[in-house]
Amino acid sequence: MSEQQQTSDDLASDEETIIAIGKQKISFQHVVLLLAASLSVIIVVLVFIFTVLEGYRIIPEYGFIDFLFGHEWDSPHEQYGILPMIVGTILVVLIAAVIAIPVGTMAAMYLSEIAPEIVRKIMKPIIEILASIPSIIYGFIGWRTLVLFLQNQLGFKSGRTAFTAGVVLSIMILPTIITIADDSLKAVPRAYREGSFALGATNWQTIRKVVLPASSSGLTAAYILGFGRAIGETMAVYFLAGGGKNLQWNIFRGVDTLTSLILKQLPEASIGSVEYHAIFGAACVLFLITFCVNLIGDLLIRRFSKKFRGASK
Amino acid sequence: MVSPDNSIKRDENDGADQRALAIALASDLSDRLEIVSEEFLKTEKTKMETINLSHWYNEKRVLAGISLPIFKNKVTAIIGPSGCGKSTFLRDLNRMNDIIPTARISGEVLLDGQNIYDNKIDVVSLRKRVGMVFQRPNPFPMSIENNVAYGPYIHGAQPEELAAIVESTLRKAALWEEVRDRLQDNALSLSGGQQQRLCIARALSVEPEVILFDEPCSALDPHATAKIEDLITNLKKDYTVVIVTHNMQQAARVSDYTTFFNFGELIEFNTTRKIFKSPERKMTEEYISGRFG
Repeated sequence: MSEQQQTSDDLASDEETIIAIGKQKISFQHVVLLLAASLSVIIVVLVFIFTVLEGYRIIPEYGFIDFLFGHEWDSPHEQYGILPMIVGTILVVLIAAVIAIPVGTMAAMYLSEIAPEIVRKIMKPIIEILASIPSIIYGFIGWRTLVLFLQNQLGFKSGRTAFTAGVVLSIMILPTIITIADDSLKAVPRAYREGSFALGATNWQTIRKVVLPASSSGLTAAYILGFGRAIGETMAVYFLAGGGKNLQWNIFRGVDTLTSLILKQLPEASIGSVEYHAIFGAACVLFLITFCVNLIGDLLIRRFSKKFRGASK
Repeated sequence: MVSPDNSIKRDENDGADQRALAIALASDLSDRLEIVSEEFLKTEKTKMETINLSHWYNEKRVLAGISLPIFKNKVTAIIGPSGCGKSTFLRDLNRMNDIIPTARISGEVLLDGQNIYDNKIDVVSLRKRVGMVFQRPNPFPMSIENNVAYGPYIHGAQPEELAAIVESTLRKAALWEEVRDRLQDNALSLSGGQQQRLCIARALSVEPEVILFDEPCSALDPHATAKIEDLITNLKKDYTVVIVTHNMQQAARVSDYTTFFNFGELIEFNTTRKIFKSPERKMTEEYISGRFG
């Protein structure tokens, strides 16, 4: 009884403190700092509202189904279907993923499980530098090497293809994948590894059968955040994917992605026209995709870290 | 009946006697020699043995010339205050310290007379023979069934054998009745005591000869502790057991032989009864009566 009373007394005094803090006088500095902190939040909201306000009009003007599933984008003939660009985005991102996921996972496995400390300390910052190279430089290098190789050595009419863009994108998203995958492998408690070694498992068996499955949600998050970067990438893709506004699935032909479409068409569209609204509609679709991808990635990372808080308690 | 087996046994015992002599000389306890050889050494078979084992982390020596026999089908307890090197010693017995880059040892660790630090020893098969259960339950984050099947699987058991191995192993670990209906559940959903028995089952699954317990109950409540202790007592019928423990009552309850470590040295080794009733060294007596540690 007396204990209960005491607890409720404690609660009461806590409540008083909370109210006291709430009543604190709001100063000028307080407001300035709050505004600074809110700036990015406000901008996100404004960008979202602006894009949606301009973009949603394509639905009444052109039709939701025609817009999203139209097979052709042809400005002179007023065709604004974005399906070719969605497919182009998927092709480029898939090619990047097919290369970057195995390479990135293996690199992270090496760094986290096999590399001596000194090698890890040297390699990891260098890998992170990859992420800070401006994308136009990737685009340029990709053109100088891959595009010209395809044209001069393999006889392609144009070396700017979905394949070219995907290969270069895979290198661009490697640092994201390696860094997050390495972190999630490192987060697997040592006790799991020891438990496996104590059964006579080799290092490789331990990595494959215990460490990788234990970090699966963290690895998935690494891949998804990698996708997020690939989907939003513009300059290198603009430079390397060539272009193609008709629906086709051949990876060795030029494609446009949602980003490169926006970059190419926006300067030509007159403000307020149907095309202008179609471009903003494409931006909304892009926004929605990257938002979902990043949200899923973040949720997975959160679930992953929670899992090991539980395991190591 | 004279069988070839008998002669082998006698050879082993002779070897044990010689090593007991070496132990006694090494630790300069000549008075102990008689106790060691007379009271039990002739009746026991030595499963493992360390000879003058020292261990360093970088330049810091944490074990100094430990010579200790570990008898077959007996429970040997290692007691001593924190930082006395008892866990390091235990981990030297199945080379778990190999994964620590700064660790270095000298001396020998014999398993059935063979030095496990010999170059031609395969660490994988050594750890299969000398299993380990850790301080905190560390089941893998997978199903209960897969936790037990993992060991046999990596050592090449056929998929159709696994279910039988899982059941018999869980029975040995006194866990089968509790988990038989939920084998596909995640092992992390078990209680702490159940998790630790699962870890014991996991260690048993590869049919080891020796099982090392590193303070197996330190994270468990008294009820779960009692179950694990019963289990350890049962296990010695088929296995040789070494247990490191902080808890002296536990050592007294489960072990046949007890050794006391302090400052990385072996202070005393004897039957558990002798150690707890009338230890020979003053330091042992002080530790057991709770005056330090």
